[in-house]
Amino acid sequence: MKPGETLGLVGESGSGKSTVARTMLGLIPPSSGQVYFQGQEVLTANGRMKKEFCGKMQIIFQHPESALNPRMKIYESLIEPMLIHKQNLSREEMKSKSRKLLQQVGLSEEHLTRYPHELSGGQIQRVVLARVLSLSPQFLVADEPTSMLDASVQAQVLRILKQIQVENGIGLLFISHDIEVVSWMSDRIAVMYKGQIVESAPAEELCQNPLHPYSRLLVEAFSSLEKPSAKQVWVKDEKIDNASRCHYYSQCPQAGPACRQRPVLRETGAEHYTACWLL
Amino acid sequence: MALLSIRNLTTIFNCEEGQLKACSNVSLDINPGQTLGLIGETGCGKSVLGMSVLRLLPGNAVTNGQIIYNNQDLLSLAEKEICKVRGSEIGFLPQSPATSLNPVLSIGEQLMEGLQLHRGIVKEKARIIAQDILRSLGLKDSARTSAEYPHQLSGGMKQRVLAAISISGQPSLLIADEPTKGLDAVNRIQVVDLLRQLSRKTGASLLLITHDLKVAAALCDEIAVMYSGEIVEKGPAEQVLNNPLHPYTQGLVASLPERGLYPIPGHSPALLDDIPGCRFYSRCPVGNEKCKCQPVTNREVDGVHVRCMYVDQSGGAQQRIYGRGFQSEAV
Repeated sequence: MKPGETLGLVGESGSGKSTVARTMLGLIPPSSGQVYFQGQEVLTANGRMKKEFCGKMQIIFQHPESALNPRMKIYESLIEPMLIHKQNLSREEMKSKSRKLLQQVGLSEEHLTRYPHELSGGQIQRVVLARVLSLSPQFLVADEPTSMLDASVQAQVLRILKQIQVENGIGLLFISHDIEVVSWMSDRIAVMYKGQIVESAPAEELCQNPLHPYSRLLVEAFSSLEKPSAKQVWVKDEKIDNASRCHYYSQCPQAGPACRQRPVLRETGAEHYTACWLL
Repeated sequence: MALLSIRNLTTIFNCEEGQLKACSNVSLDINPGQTLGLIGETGCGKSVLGMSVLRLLPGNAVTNGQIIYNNQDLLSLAEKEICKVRGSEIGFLPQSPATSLNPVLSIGEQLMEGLQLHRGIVKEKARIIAQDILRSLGLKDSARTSAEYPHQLSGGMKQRVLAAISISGQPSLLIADEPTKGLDAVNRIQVVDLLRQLSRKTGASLLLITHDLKVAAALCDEIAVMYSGEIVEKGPAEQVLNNPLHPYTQGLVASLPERGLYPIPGHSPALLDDIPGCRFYSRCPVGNEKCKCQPVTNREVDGVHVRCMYVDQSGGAQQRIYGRGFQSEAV
């Protein structure tokens, strides 16, 4: 990912989107592989280095109801990261900083003294965003931040997220299963299926010209809900296929003998990468 | 004649803070074989409306008005009588498949319970019918499924089992409460297919409670839009979604990602507040003093019932008020 870029990660539930995000931040130990942030290895870092990475790389989780400590007032939740990262601010400075952060996400001072249960889901996601901003991160993971919210509230939260991201030049990994939301948010989109990135392309290109059979299905699925689906039965196959063939082999309408080998990402267009032998 | 007629239904919860009016003066009709979508944001009272019909509300709730089903008022029935209506006349498909099944009973037992209770079928026969229903809903290995327990099934399978239970009493009306909430694209399509199958196979009417406009568009004949306890717009699905009249419905449609993701500024008023005028006034881009203080009445424009004075003044469909220029400041 480039600095300031938004990468959208789509895929059905269970495809491994959240696992990728959590592994990147060191929340889950990887079996193998490395993650580099500004040229430095993240996962093996410890001590002061690790803490520094934690401040620069932040995450917003999916469920607003479990994102904040229910026994802490919003103000306490907001200043906690400032205390942990020893920003050496006085009480007054912390107060005015948290006030400013809440303003940035469209909330007001009165919310500082509330408890999480007094706020709605959309408001909590905004508080979480404000708390993340207190550390001025350079990389942010948003793991389905609005999947539990209504359409109108979702629009509010996403617009604020986008605005803040652009203003501060934050690199954003935006995870969602809603391809329309992803295409609105992202510069580039990667499609994940059973733990593998099967296609990655600029957002517009992917929505208009999906090449992998699975991405095509994903893009169509959102536009064709209105019509009775007679063409292809979409069965969800939750087993991970351990044989060396393509993960999509059993579902793919075009699978041929070449697909018994697992495909790798290849360049199939300008900045367009696809893992499929049939192209 | 309508299968179910709700007339002036008002549901109030008595709580410590005061009286919470979750539904106020709601009137709706569902015709036989028809699908009615009830859409609106979280906390607008749509689930309470569904639960009011089934009389499954907690003890501090007071319901007024009439719910006419089969020439009888469900609200005046004795508890014993309403038990006969639940399940066998009006089925219910609950919100979250993960927590709605009993974890210590096998699927077969849970399905047979309804068959024995509502249709008086003996156990051995019920077992066979249960497996037939499961098979008709696409669970091919139904003998195995009925011997399994909920934790052994995937989310989609659980949803199917719940659907099987909800139609096992052969109801003529099915209430589905947010069947697609939090689901990904694959599961959403499956649920939409499933509901389509159900209404086709059983011929039952469907009351679909959802905040997913796309699902509503795919399934519904008619749509009622609920805001802060009131029905603000009601009419044929296509008309309401493609040419919304009420400013709230317009905002709802404009907040979809494919329509540009324009949010409605502000948030809905608390259901505890008593507001003399229009409840949408504080967020409405076209509201005036009159909307603020005078009670709003329903008007009919081209077969669509809409609760907005502005629609009346302009004498018909108003132009779209949500767009880039207006909404960019709202954030």
